[in-house]
Amino acid sequence: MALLGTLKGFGVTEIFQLISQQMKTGTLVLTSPEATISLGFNNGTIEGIKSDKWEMDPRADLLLKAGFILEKDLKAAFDGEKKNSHKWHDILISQGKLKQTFLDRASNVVIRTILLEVFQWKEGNYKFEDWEVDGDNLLPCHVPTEGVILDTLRVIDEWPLVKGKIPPVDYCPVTIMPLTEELVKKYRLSAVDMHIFDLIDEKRTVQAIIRQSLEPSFEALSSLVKLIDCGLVEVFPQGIIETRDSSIAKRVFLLRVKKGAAIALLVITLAALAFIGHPRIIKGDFIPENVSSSVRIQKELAQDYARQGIWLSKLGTGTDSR
Amino acid sequence: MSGPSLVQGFLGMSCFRDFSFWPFVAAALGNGYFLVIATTILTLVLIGVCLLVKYVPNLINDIRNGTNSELPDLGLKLWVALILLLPVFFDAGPLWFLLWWFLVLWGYLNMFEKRIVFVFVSLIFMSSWLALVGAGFLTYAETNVSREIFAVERSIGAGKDRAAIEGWARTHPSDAEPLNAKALWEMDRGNYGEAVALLTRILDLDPDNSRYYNHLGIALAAMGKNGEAIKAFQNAATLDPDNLVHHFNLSRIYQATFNFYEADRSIQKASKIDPERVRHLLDHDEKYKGVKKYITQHVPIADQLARQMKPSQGLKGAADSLWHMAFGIFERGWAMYLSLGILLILFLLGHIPEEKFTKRCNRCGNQYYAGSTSLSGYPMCLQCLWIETKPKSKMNTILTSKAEDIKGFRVKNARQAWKLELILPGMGSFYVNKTAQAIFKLTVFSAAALLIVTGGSFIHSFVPSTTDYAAYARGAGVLIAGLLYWRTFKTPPLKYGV
Repeated sequence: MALLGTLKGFGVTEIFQLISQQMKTGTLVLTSPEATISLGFNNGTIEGIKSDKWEMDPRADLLLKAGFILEKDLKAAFDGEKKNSHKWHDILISQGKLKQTFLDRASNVVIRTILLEVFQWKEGNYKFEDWEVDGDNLLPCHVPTEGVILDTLRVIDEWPLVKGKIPPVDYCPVTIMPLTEELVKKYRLSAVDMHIFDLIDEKRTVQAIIRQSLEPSFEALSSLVKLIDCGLVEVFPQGIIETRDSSIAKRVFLLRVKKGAAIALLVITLAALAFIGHPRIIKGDFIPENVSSSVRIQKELAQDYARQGIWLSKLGTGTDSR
Repeated sequence: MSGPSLVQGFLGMSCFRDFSFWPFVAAALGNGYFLVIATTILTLVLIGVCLLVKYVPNLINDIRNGTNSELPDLGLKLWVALILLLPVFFDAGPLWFLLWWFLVLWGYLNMFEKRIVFVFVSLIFMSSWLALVGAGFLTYAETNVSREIFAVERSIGAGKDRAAIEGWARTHPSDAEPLNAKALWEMDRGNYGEAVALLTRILDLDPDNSRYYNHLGIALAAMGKNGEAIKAFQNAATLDPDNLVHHFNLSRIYQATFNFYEADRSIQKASKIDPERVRHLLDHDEKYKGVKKYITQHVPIADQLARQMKPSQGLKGAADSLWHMAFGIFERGWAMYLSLGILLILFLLGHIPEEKFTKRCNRCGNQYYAGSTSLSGYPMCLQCLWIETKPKSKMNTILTSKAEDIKGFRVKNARQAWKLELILPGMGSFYVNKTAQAIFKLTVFSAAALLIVTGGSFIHSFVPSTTDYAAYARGAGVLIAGLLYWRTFKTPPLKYGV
C-alpha cells in the first residue's frame, strides 16, 4: 500500500501519528524545497533516518567537530570501511578511539535535529511505502514516534523565548559562582543544565560547548539561556580572558546601578504622576456634588412630607374630586 | 377566595398601590436601572480583578524575561503594581482601571475574555446615552417642574411649588402641563375665570388632550356655564371614549341641569367601562353631596416619566457627573471617540506576535509561547493539542506519562480554583477558563452585594411610602449571596482528577 500527498493537506505530525497508531512498517519519504528525508518505520517506531543533504555520516562530522575523534583516525576508519564490511564507528570503537555512549548521543542529536526541521515544514510532499525497510542506507535508531512528536512539539512551543536570548555563538560563557546543591534546587536545574555548566571553562565558546555537550541544539541552548537568566553564567567576547575579571566587576557594578536605577525611576515616576495627574484618590471626589445633592433633595422632601403626614398611601390614585 | 377578589386583595395592598404614583414608579424604575448599571460595573471590575489574578504571573514572567532577569524580584513586582495602578494617578473612575487592565493584559486573554472586552467597549460607546437615562431618573424630582405639578395636582403643594410653576410657565409658554396645574390651583382658589382662560390657552397648545377638556368643563360648570361645560365634557369623551371620568362628569353636569335621561345614559356608559370604580365614585359622591362632585385627572405616570427624561440643563449636568463618576479623565461627549480609539488600540495590539506573551496550557498547565488554541478556544500547548486528537485506546506509555502530568496539574489546579472560588465566587471559574460560569457567578455576587449594601435604594421617592422596600431588598441580597456561596461550596469549578 502506498500513501502519498502534499504536506499542505496533511501535516507531518498527522502522518507520523497515522503510521504510529497503525503500527506500520515501511519507508516514509518527505520531500521539501530544502531536502529529501527518508525515515524507516518498524511497527510504528522510527528505526532509521536519511537525508539527501548528508555527504557523509553526520554523526562523524558531529563527533569530529566536538573533538571526540581525531580527523586522521576518522579518515583511517573510513578507509577501513571501504576495505572491509565494518562500519567506521565499529572500527573506532574496537580501536578504543570512540565510546559507544558518544556515538549514541551523536545519533540522538542528529535524529532530533532532523526531525525538528522536518516537523516545521509547511510545504512539500510525502510518500509512504509499506515494504521492508532497507536498513543499510539509513542511520539506524530506535525512537518511539510519540516521544519524538511530543518532544518536538515542546521545542516548538518554547523556542520563541529561547530564540530571543541566545548569546552570540563565538562568545565565551563564564561561570559566576560554583554550582551548589542549594542553587540546583533553587533554580530547578536539570541534568542537561548541569552538564552545560560543567562544560564552561572560560575557553570554550558557546558553539563549542553546544557541540561538545552532544545534546540537541535546542536543549543545550535552552540550558545555557537558563543558566544566564539565573545569573550563574555570563558571556563575553572571545579573546579577552585577561580582562574578564574587571569586566565581571564592571558587570556586577552595572547590575547594581541598574537595580538602583529601576527603583529610582519607579520613585521618580510615582512622584511625577502624582504631580502631573489629578488623583481622584487625593481629591476624594468619588461621588460628584450634584449627584449626591439630587439624592439628598429626594430624601429631604420625603422627610418633609412624612412630617406633614403625607404618605403615598394617603394620596388619590389618578383622579381627585373637585 | 376566587380569582378576581384575590387580585383585588393584592391591589389593595399598599405595596401594589404605590405603583399608582409617579414618584414611586420613577424611583422604582430608577433603582432598577441603577441596580443593573451598578451590577454591570461591579461585575466588570471584578472580572478585571479575576483576570489580574489569572494573568499577572504571566505578565511578571514576561517582564522578567524581557529584562533578562536583571530586575530584583521586589522591584519587578513594584513596577508591575505601578503599571496596573497607573490610573490611580489621574482623575479616573473604576472603569478606567478596568479599561487599562484589559489593554495591558490583552495579549494574554483567551477568545472568550476578548469578547468581554468587546462588550465593554460597546458599553463605553453607549455610555453617554446610558448616563443620560440615569440622569433622567436621578433628577426626576428637580427637572421640568414635574414634582411641583405632582404636588399641586394633589393639593399637597406649598407656595414655593406654585411659584416654581408660575416661573416655569413664564419662561416656557408652550409647555401645557404646568399651565394645567396652575389652572387646577386657580380652581382650588375659586378663580374659575382665570382657570378657564388658562385651559383655553392650553387647548390651543394641545387640542387633542381630553384631560384639559375635562378640566375646562369643570371650571365652566363652576362658573355656571353649563352648556359650554357639557360641550367641553363631550369633547373629552369623544377624544377618549374609554375613560369613565369623562362620562361620569357628563352625568354630573346633566344631573345639575336636570337632564336625568342623559345623566343616566352617561353613567351607564361609565359603568360599562369599570362598574366597580363607578360604584365607588357614586358612594363618594353621596358621602360629600354638594361639596365636590367633578373628577379631575392627574398627569398619567407615562407622561410624567417621559417628562422627567426631557433633556434639560440639569439633566445634562447630572449625566456628565454620572459619567465622570464611572469614567472620568475625559468629558462625557468623548465617550464615542474613546470607544473607537480603544478599538484602534486593540487592533494594533492584535499585531504583536502571539509568541511574545506567555501562555498557560489549559490541559497540563505548562507555560509556552508558540502553542495553539483548543477546539473550544482555550490556550493549549502543542503536546496537549496533539494528545487530544488521539483516541484513548491508542495511548501508550509515553502518552500515559504525559497524561499523568495532566492529571497532576488538574488536581493542583482544581484545589487552587476552589480556593479562589471561595474567596470570590467566579474567580476560580475564571482561573480554570470556565468563563460563562464565572460571569454568571460574578454577576449574581455583584447584584447580591449591591442589594445588601444599598438595599436597592440609589434614589428615593420624594413622597414617602409606608413600606420599607430596602429591608426586603437587603434580605433578598443576603439570601442570594448565601445560595451562591452554598452552591460554590457544594460544586467546585473543577472536579478532582476529571
